[in-house]
Amino acid sequence: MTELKDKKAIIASRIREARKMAGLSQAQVAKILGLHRPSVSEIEAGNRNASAEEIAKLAEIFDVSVSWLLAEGVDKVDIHDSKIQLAARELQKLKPEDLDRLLILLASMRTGRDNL
Amino acid sequence: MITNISEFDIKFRKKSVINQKQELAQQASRKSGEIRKEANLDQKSPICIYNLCDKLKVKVRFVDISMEGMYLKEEEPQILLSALRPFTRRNFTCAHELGHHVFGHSSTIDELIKDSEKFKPFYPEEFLVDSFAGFLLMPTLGIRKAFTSRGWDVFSPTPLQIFTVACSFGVGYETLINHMTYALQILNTTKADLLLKFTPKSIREQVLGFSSPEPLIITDKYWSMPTLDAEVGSYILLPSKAEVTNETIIFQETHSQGCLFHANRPGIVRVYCPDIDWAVLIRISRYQFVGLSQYRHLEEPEDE
Repeated sequence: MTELKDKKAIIASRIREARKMAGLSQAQVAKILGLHRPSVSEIEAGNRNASAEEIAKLAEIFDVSVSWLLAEGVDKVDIHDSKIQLAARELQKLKPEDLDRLLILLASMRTGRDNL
Repeated sequence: MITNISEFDIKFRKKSVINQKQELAQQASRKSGEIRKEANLDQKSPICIYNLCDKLKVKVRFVDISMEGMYLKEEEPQILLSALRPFTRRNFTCAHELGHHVFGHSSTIDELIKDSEKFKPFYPEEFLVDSFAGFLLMPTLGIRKAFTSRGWDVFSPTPLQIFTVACSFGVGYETLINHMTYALQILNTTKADLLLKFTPKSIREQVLGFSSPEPLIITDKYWSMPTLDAEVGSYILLPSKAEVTNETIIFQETHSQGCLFHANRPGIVRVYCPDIDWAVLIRISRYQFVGLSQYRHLEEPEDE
């Protein structure tokens, strides 16, 4: 039960994070999806479950993978993951906090491989 | 370390740097023309680099990461640009990263370039894509036309003329001078050095009559792009008698060269000047917008 609650909270926080990474406000997302703004706020607070259709639509407008949004993938990719087609020397160009943000972004991205 | 040197690097190290640069610049110029043609763009007009990326199916995302930009070679290629860099710098970096894409380079991160690091070592791949970005954004014919159509001498421009043309191509003042000097060879280095003694800040002060840290975009009737992109906080000098359709930009004052407006909020506004039959769509994004490029001009919906 707690595990389910935790997962629900992770999904809610990923929806919020993905929205911010896409550069959208809750009101803009609501308008795109044809919802009322409080509905988006409730989804992000974990008080309302998003339907499968809404999750798919959110993933599409945020340009993230459905699996990442549903907390089925890792929060951020490992620096040695083959998903990163960047040489280690390239990644060393970034400050640790910037690298962290990049690894989260890379984990969330829709690609031809993991697009659902 | 040998592992850090690509085959591309090894091949070109055998030639002299000058020959290499000439060859790479020609290659970059050719490729920029091909890409414009592929995207149904003419060979002289200023372009919106983000629209071009969209046409070429390369996604662009602005991030708050301290760097210049990044190219991710994926099945769905992406360009990441630092929102923390100046507005015109982002345009050039986007064209630079697009260069990595069209030349088939691997994923790469372009570090922050500080002024003290201008004279960095010669890397053929980087020179190639920098040249590509220059020719793509500032095509030879377009730059010449921008000066001649305004009745200005392209070989002896004033700082304000350079600034105005740089605005119309969406590039920085110094970027245009360097391109005209080293790539197009229109300006000699003496003239370039003289122009570089002026800064965008000093030119802004000369035009506005007051010192401002905010960017200024100068337009005139020769502005040929259907759009003008800016971010909240920027000043926009429009031709006199400019009429706007909403409050995305706010009128500030009448100016000797036109009407001064201030970018007020994200969104799109149509500007029309009935006396010269000139119109443009001004697209304003949030200051240092972070997100997908297609959302950068979305306005905030009104409260329900």
